[in-house]
Amino acid sequence: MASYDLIDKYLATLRAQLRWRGETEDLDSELRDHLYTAAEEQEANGLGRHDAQRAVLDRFGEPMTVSSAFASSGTKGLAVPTRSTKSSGQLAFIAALAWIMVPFGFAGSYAVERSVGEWDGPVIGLFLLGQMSLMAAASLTVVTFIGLFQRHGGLGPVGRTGIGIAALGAAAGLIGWFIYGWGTLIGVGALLIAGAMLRRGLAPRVATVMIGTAGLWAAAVGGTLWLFEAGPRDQYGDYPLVGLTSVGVGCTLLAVGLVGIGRWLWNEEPVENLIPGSATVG
Amino acid sequence: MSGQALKGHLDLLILAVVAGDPAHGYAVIEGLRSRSGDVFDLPEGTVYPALHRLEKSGLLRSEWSIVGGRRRRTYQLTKKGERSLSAEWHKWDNFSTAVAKVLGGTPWPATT
Repeated sequence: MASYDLIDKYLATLRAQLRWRGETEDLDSELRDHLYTAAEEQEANGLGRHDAQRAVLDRFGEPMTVSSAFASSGTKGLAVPTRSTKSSGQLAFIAALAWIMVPFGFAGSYAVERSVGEWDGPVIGLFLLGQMSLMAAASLTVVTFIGLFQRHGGLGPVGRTGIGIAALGAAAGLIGWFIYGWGTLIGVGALLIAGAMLRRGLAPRVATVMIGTAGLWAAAVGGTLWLFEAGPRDQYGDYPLVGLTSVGVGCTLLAVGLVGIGRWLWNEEPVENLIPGSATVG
Repeated sequence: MSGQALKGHLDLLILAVVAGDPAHGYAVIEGLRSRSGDVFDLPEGTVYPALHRLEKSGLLRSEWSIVGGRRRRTYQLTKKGERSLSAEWHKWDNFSTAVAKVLGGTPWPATT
């Protein structure tokens, strides 16, 4: 089989620009078959190898033209990485850290209160740490979701509904002890957004599934422990350990999933950097 | 023909080319060019997103084979694609007939 250096370089450039799309092996094979077949025909018609490749690549289109066609195909907007979506990746890391702090704050507050026997100084401080972390984590997660919405060129009505519900959950996080309220809203919002993302098939699947199912796992673990009446009851008749474990599971899954999503968004080359002189992408 | 004008009809044209025989991307593009008498001349690479979109919509299906030591993806029309092609074809036929009738009664415009 003949080798075509110009075509290989062209495909390497295109592969780099279409990393976001996934299925790069199949796409590479399909486009290579096209370009090699066309080049072989040009050579059979009498062109030299270099000229044959030039002619074929001229007809195929600039890499940016082709990658833009892929990016805008089947979407209402451009499903491309931008500086804005890259920044969302950074926010996802901070959100993940904040989610990890949530169970530490609430569990620490509960443990110290059990030990000293009163709602005072360090107990309140730790509770506020959990509360502030929850507010920060939920807000940053909603902003990350908006970045994911942009990155996919839109996630349809399901994605928009998911972001709206998650935003309500972030607001409900003001009442930190009302776990069933904020936990359910954020969990349902994340589930809808993850479902829309999986349908598009761009984002890392494992991280997306973790974010989408965080609320379900938290509910399943909490429900199971509640059935077994795990831990002591408090003065309100609740089982604090059940709630804390459930929050811990949900927050950890959200944190790990956000790290995966953050790595993906952060590692992508923004298209503005690939287009000389371009500052924004419409 | 400008790429923008062609884009609006690209899906129908691709379905029409694939309707004859299963074809790989290069053959689809060659079919578009030759059957249009070299009028349809898009950057070839931009046809692939349309092929993938049509497959995702269930109008085409693809299979992989090895030809000349290379992996080749071949597309063919699905039943849904056949129905869609038929419906769109009728719409286009009605539209182009109506346009031809309107233009037929108009004198050819002077260009100088």
